[in-house]
Amino acid sequence: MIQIQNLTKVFKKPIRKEGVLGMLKTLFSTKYEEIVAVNDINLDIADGEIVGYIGSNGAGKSTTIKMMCGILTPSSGKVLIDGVEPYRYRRKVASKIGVVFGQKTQLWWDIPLIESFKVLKEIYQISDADYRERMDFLCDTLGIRDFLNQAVRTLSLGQRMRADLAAAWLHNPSILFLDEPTIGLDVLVKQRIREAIKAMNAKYNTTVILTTHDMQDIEDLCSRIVLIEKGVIIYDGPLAEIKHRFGDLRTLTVNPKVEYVVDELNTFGGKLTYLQQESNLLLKFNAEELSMEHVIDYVFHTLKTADLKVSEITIEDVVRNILEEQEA
Amino acid sequence: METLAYKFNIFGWLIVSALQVLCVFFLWIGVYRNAEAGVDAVINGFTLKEMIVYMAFINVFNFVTYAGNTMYEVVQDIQKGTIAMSFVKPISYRVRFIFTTLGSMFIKIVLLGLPMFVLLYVVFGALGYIVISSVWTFLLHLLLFLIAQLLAALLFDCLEYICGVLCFYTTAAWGMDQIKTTITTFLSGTLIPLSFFPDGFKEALNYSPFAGMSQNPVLILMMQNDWLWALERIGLSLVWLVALEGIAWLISRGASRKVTVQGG
Amino acid sequence: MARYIKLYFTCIKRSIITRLEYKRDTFISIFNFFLTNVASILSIWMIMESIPSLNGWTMAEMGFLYGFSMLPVALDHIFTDDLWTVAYFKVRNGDLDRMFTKPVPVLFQVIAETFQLEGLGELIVGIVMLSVCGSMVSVTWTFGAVFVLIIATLFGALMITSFKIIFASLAFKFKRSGQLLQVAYNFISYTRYPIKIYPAVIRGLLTFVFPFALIISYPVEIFLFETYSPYLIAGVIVAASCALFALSIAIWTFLERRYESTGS
Repeated sequence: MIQIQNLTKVFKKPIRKEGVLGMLKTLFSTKYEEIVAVNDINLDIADGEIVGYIGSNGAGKSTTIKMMCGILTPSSGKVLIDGVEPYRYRRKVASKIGVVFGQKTQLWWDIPLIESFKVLKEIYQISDADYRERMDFLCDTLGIRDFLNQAVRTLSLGQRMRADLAAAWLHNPSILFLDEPTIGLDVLVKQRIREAIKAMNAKYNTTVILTTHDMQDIEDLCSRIVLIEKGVIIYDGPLAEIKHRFGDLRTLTVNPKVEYVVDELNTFGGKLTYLQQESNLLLKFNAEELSMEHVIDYVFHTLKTADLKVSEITIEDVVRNILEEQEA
Repeated sequence: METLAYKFNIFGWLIVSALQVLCVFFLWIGVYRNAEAGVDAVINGFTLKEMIVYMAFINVFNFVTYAGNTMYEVVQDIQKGTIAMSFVKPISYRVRFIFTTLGSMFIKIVLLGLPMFVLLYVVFGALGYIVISSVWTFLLHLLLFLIAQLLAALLFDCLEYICGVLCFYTTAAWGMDQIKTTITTFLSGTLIPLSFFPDGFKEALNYSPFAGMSQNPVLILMMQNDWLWALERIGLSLVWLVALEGIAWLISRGASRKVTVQGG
Repeated sequence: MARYIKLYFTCIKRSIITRLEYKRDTFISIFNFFLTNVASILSIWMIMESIPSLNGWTMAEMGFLYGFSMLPVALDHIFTDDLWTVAYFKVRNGDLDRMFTKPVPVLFQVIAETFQLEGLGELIVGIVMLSVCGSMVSVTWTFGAVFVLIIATLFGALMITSFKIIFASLAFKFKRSGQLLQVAYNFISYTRYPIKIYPAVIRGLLTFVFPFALIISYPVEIFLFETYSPYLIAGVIVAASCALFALSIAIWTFLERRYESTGS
């Protein structure tokens, strides 16, 4: 059970002046500019939920997660993990949580994976029986048995991520924080990781809080998403609702073989918008309002494109739409 | 946070270093007291006053010379795996570091080098430790010193770069860094002037690139020898700089080959 | 308690596996330690060569002093080497994040991170220097002197560790404190000269502020000149190092709460 009440984090950043003289001034000045990374957030997460915590870069995701893990102290408001503030009672909360930061491994780089697990077993005081039982389960679901005796530095990114997940799950935490667990992985590994998260959530009823940029991660895993932008929660609810709210948004990426002027292209009565990206042309429209068939027909015959990619709504699109909606 | 850190690091370092330099002064006073001719002795070409001036200047200018963070950055690139990309254009990669280093050197000169230089000159001048007999000679030596100091920073930066790339072959970046520091402080005349070294070593070290990193700029500034000597040292540093940059280029090429084989 | 002992040995085992895995790194590390000591000993030797004697001390006596100073330094080196990386970059890089999410004190995790096998070599070299130089001068191996030697080694290491803890924990507030720790640590090297050559200010500095003279200079004088009562000195060492250790733990605990992981 996680409760977040009026959580705010303000970073003080010095006002840096340009140039050498500016640096000299900085040295003696005491002026700061305040950056509100997280602004008055309220959130309740029940046991066993899988929550997608989503937002663009610098929206305040990592800051919130770090406060929930206890490695950052809030400027005001509080986080309660089973009624305890993690940044105050770090060690008490530490045994209840597991953390995977996608960019940084929690494992020891230079020793065989199994040795890392043995150290973690001691750190978390896991009993022999529990350790064996969980290792068996984790090895099977994550498929890490084959490289248990390899040094972590020799693992591929996908293998390392699976190992990191296992390490975070070893002490059976009631809450697991996953920061970008699928970043940079290929489709098959992503799939495997998602299945493992589902299986482990089902078996141990672990609460999972996940940040990601991958829409598929969210669709497969999250019963609930929380959208944050500029430190403020702009949406909290099921994914399906948000998708319906903005319709079935699609993006077509094409590479026209004819000369064209964007302003002169067919917008199907304003239902379609164009965006130029390097040599590609991006077409954005709502598939519920405008049939895919018409659009594809148009790009093949009039624009003579040789190649075409259809993509569904991205997180950035969702964020932009919600913001536009709020402004309107 | 950052400024606080920055202030703390500069002021804290300044205080503790000042205490340390004080220890060095008194250590040398103790040493000269034990010389046969007492405090008026000339040991290996240095009077006590000259030794104190030397130690003060070398500590200030080392701070300026060792301004960059090149080795750390290269090691970071190696660990993050982005070095493979950088090695595609090894020369522009190298040049970027030179400019960054020169930039931070400039900042350190303004923040610390110049004020300390003026302060030390005034204090030592008032104490009679430094005597300027001719303004023109002084200005000439000052100019030569600036050139030598610039070369010192470039030489050191190149050494940093080389050590950084060498970390490609080892994971002991920490140990490499320590070895680099130990060797440079010992062989550049920071710990004790090179004239204290035994005959033979002394001459060899005077022709090594290390002498150009710390000792020679300070000696030029102190006008211990004439301007011809200074010019000769500057020329030597220049030759070493070209040679070291050549070595840097060669080993980054070697390392980049290894990257391609390993696939990053 | 038993839990922590077991955990410590598990971590140490991990550290040793790493060291053995990287033979080249271990070699670099040993070479580094060797080089650092050779450079300092040579510096002392070259200074000694330039004067008849230093306050009546012979080179053998200086060697004895140096060997003595190596023991606490080596012991601290073996057990707490990772404090350096905390001060230099682990806080700045956010590498400590993983330690803050574990149910074990962070300081314990830092200490358990490395076991410097190379430090054992340092310890052996120190003992050899102590015996060889001790046999060359008239050292009085009384029971009291040996007692002081053991106390100075064990509690001296504790004192050095305490200093490292204090300066490393400053990084929690100021992001990095490596350079500052380095200059503070360097004060040890000034106790490798007879303390009597310094004026009262510096002696005071080395006795009360950076009290490394307590664990090195005074005990050595007991061996060489039987100046002080060994039990008095031993008592002072124990009291001072325990007080400093308590202080260092308090400072660490206080500043640890200030740790703020970097990043957005």
